[in-house]
Amino acid sequence: MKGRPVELNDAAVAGAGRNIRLRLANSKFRIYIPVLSASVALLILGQILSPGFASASNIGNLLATAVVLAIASFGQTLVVISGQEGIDLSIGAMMSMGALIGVQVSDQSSLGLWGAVLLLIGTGALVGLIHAVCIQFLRIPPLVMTLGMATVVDGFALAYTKGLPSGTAPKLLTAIGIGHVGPIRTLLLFGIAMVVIGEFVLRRTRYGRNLYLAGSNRMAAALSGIHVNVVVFVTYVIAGIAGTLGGLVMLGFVGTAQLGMGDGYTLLSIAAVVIGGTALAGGEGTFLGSALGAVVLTILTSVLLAVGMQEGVRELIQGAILLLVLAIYSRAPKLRQ
Amino acid sequence: MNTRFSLKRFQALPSLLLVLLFVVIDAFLIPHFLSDAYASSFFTSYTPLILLTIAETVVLIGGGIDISIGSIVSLVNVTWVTLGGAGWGFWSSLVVSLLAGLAIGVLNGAVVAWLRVSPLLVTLATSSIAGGLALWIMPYPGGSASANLVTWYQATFAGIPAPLLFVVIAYLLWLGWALTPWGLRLFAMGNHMHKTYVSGVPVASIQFATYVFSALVAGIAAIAVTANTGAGDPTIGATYTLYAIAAAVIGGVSLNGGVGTAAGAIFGSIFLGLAFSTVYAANMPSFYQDLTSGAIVLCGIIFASLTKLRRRRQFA
Amino acid sequence: MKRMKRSMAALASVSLAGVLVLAGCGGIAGNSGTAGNGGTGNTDTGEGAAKVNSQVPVLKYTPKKKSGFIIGFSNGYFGNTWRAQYVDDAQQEANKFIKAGIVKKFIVQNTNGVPAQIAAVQSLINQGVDALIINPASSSALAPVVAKAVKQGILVVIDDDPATYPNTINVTGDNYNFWKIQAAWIANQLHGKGNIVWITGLAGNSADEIRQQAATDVLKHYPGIKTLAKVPGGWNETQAQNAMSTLLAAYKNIDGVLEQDVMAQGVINAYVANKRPLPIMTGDYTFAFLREWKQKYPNLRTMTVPYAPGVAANGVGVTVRLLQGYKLKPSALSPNPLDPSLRNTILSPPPYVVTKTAQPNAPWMKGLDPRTKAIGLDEALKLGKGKPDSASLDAYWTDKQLDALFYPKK
Repeated sequence: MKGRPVELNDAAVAGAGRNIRLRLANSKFRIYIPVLSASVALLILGQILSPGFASASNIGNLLATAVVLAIASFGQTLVVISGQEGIDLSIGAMMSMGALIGVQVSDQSSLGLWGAVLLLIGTGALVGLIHAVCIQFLRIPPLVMTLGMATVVDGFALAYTKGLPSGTAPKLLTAIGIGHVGPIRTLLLFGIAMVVIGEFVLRRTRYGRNLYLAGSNRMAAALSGIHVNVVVFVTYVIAGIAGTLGGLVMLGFVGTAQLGMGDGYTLLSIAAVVIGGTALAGGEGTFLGSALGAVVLTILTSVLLAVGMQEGVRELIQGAILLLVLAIYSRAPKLRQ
Repeated sequence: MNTRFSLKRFQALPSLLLVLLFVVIDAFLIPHFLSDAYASSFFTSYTPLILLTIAETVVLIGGGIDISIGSIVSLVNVTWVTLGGAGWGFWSSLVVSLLAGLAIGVLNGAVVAWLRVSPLLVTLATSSIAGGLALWIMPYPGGSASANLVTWYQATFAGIPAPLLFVVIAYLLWLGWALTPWGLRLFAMGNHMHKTYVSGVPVASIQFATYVFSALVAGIAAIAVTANTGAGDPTIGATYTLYAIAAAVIGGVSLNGGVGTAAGAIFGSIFLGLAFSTVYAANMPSFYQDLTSGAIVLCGIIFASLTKLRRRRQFA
Repeated sequence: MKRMKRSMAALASVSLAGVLVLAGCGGIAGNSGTAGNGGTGNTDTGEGAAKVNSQVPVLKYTPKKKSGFIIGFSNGYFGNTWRAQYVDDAQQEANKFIKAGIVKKFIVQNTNGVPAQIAAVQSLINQGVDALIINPASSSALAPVVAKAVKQGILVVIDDDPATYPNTINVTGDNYNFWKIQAAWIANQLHGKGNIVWITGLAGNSADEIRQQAATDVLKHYPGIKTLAKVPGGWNETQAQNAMSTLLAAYKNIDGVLEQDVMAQGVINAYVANKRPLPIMTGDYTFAFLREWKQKYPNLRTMTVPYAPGVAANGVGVTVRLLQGYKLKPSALSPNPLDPSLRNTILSPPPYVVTKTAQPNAPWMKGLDPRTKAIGLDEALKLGKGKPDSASLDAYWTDKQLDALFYPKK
C-alpha cells in the first residue's frame, strides 16, 4: 500500500543511478504505446461520430487545448515523482490565482506583464515553500496540505480581486494562447518546448536524478548523501511556480480571467499523470507521458462533447474508462512477491 | 506498536481541544449558542459530515483513502427520492438505494484489494461513476422525501436532537468492528501491510471490508442528508468529501494508516462545523469569508499535525 | 508479453469507450422524448399562465414593525464574477435602506453547495433575522429549512434562481425572454434561412432549460433555419471554446452561433484559432466583450441582452417593502418558471437589448416588457465607464418601478 516496491529497493545504492538510466531507455517507447494507440482510436471514433473531427486543423486545436492540461500536469508530475504520497491538489487554485493576479497586475498597474511574471514567480514559490515546510517538517500528508492550501489560495484570489477582476489578457499571452506560427498553433510549440526542457531537467541534471532516487526510496537516497529535504523543497517550489505561470498561459488561451477558472484542472491533471505512466507511489514517470495523458483525456472529452452527450452519462463514461485503464495497467505487484 | 495503542485514547485530544476552544468563542459570538434550538440546528446541518468523517476514518486507518463518499451520498439520495416518487414504499426504496451505494463500495473494495490499484485513483474514478449515475437518474434537483422523516429529523427528544441517532448508529457500527479481533487486524494492517500479510491475516478481505463499511456509513449519511433537505439533488454530496478528509486528519487520523479513532472523527467534524458557524456568525465582508474559513481549516490541520508530531518523532 | 498486454489494454479501453458512447447516444435519443415532455410541463411559461388559479394566497406574512429590520442574505454559490457583482448590488441597495434607518443590519453569507447553504440559513435564523433573501443552490433541497423560517414568522424571498418553496416570493430574471430576444434577433439577421449551432449553458440547469425552450419556441416559426447541433458550454469560456472548435471541425457551413452569457469570448477564440471569419453570433454582456466589440471587431454582427446581476437589488427592494407591510398587486406576479400552477414570481425583465445602434422598433423588440430598453453599443459602454472588464452590464429597478409593483399604503 505504502509504496510499490520498485526494483531500486534492492539495488545497491551506488548502482542505482545506472539502473534508472537503463530502465528509462528500456521503457522509453513501451510505456507510451497504450496512450498513443488510445489517442488514435479515439480520433477515429470521433471522426465516425462527427465527420471532420480528425481533420488536421481540429487535431491542432485538440493538441493546443491539451497543452493547457499538460501545463497543469507539469508540476503534478514532479510532485508525484518525489514520492512519499506526493500529490498536489492546489494546482487548479494556483492556476486560477495566476490568471487573476496576472490580468490585474499586467493590465491595471504600472508593473506590466513582466512585473506580473516576477510577482507570480514569487507567489508561486512562497506557496510551494509553505507546502514543503508543512509536508517535510510538520509531516502533514501532501494530499491534505495542498487541499487545505487550495481553499486558502482560492479565498485569497477572491479577496484580492474583490470578485471582480479587471483587464484583458496582454497581447503576448493571447499570441501564445490562440495565435499561430505558420500553420502551427503557438501553444502547441510552447507545449513541446516545455516537455523537452522538462525531460532534459529530469534526465540530465543532478536535480532530476536525485528526484527519482528520493522518490523511490527516501531512506536510500539520504544514505547515499542526497539532501532529500532540498529535493522536496525544490520540487514543491517548482510546482508552485509552474501553477501560477500556467495560469498566465491559461489566461492567454481563454482571453479573460474568471474566478475559479482553473479548478477543473486539479483532478484532471492527476488523471493525466497516471494515464501517462507515472506511478502514484513515486520514483518514476516522465513529462512526455503526462503530456500524452493530457492529449488522451482532451480527445476523450471532446469526443463526448461532440456527440452532445448528457452530462451525467459523460461523467459516467469518463469514470468507467479511467477505472478500466487503472485496473489494466496501474496495478501494484502482489504482496507475496 | 504497543506505544501507539496505549496512546490511542489520547489521539482525539487535539481535536477535542479545538472543539472546546470554538465552543467558548461561539458562546460569546453567537446569541443563543448554548441552547437546545441551536444544538438541534447545528446537528441537522452537520450530522452528514460527522458520519462521512467516520466512514473516511475507517478507510484511512486501513491505509487507503475514499474520495467517492460524497458521490455515494448523491447516488443514494436521488435513488431513494426517485423510487419514492415512483410509488415505492419508504423501506423498500431505502433498502434498494442503500444497496446502490454499497455497490459502489464493493466496486471500490474489489478493485483496491484484489486488483491492487491506488485507492485515490480508484475512488476518483468511481466517484465520477456514482456522480454520473446520480445525474443520469435525476438530471436536475427535484422530487420530495417523506414529510414524516423531515419533521422527525428536525425534532428533539428530551433535549436531544434526533439526528444524533444516526451518529450513534455509525458509532455502534464502528465499535462492532473495533472491539472485535478484526479491529486489531485493521490497525495492524494499516500500520504494516506486509508484516500483517505475512502473519496470516487476510489483508485483502479487510481492505475490501473498509470500503464496503465506508459506503454503508455514507449511505446512512445520505439518509440524514435526505431528511435535512427533503428532496433529491444529484450534486448534493459533492462538497462533503474533501471536508470529511480534512476533518478526519484534524481528528487525529494518519493518512499513512494504522492510527485513528471514531471519537476523533466526531470531534474533527464538529470542529469544522463550529468553524464554519463562526465565520457565518462573524458577519464579515463576503470577499473574506472563503479566505477566513480556509485559513481556519488549514490552521486546524497544522495544529493537529503539530501535536501528532511530538508523539511520532520517535518513529521518524 | 507485457507490451502486448498493455496495447491490448489500450485497445480494450478504447473499444469500451466506443461501446459506451454509442450506448449513451441510444440512451439519449431514447430519453430525449420523455425529458422533452417533462421539460415543457415544467417550463412552458407562456401557456401555463392561463390555467393558474390566482385566488391561492401565495404569501402569508404579517409585518411586525415599521423599521429596524434585520435581513439575512444567503447566496448559494460564490466563485464567479457575476455572483460577486450580484452580491455587491444587494449590498449597495441595502446600504441605501440602512442609511435611511429602515434596515438595521444586512447580513451576507456566501456558501458553495446545498449543505453549506442550509447551515448558513440556519445560522441566519438563529441570528434573529426578520427576512431572508435566498439565492438557492438547489430548487428543492432547501425546503425544510425554508419551511422552518416561515414557521417562525420570517419573510422569505427567493432571488435570482427560482424555487417552488411554499409561502415565499420569487424575484427572478426572465430567462425565457432573455434567450427569446436573442433567438429572434439571429433569425432576423439570417433572413429566416441558414445553419446555426447553439452553445447552451449547464446541462440540467433549470435556467438553461427555460432558455432552450424559448429558443425552440421562436425558431419553430422559421423552418428555413436549421439547428446543426446544440452543445453545452457550461457557462465556461474554456469549455465553450473546446465545444466551438469541435463544431467548426465537424461543420463547414455554420452561418450563425446562438450563444448565451459569458461564452462569447470562447466562441471568438475558437474562430480566431481556426482562422475562420467570425459568424453572426449573439454576444456576451461583460464590458470586456462590449469593449472588444467596439475596439477590435467593430464589424462583428452581434448583439447582447444582459442577464443583470441587479436582480439582487430588486430582491432587496421588494423584501423591504414587504417587511413594511406593502401588499403586492396580483398583476406584479407571474407563474413560477418551475411550476406554472404557483403564481408567486416577480419576473425581472432584461433591462437592455444592445445592438450596434439602438433599434427600438426592430422585430425582436415586439411584445416585450416596457422596462426592456433598446440601446446602442456606445450607450452601453458609457454605462460601464470606470467598471472593471469582468463586470456585467447592469441595471436595477428605480424606487418608482419598485413602488409600481405594490398597492399604495393606506
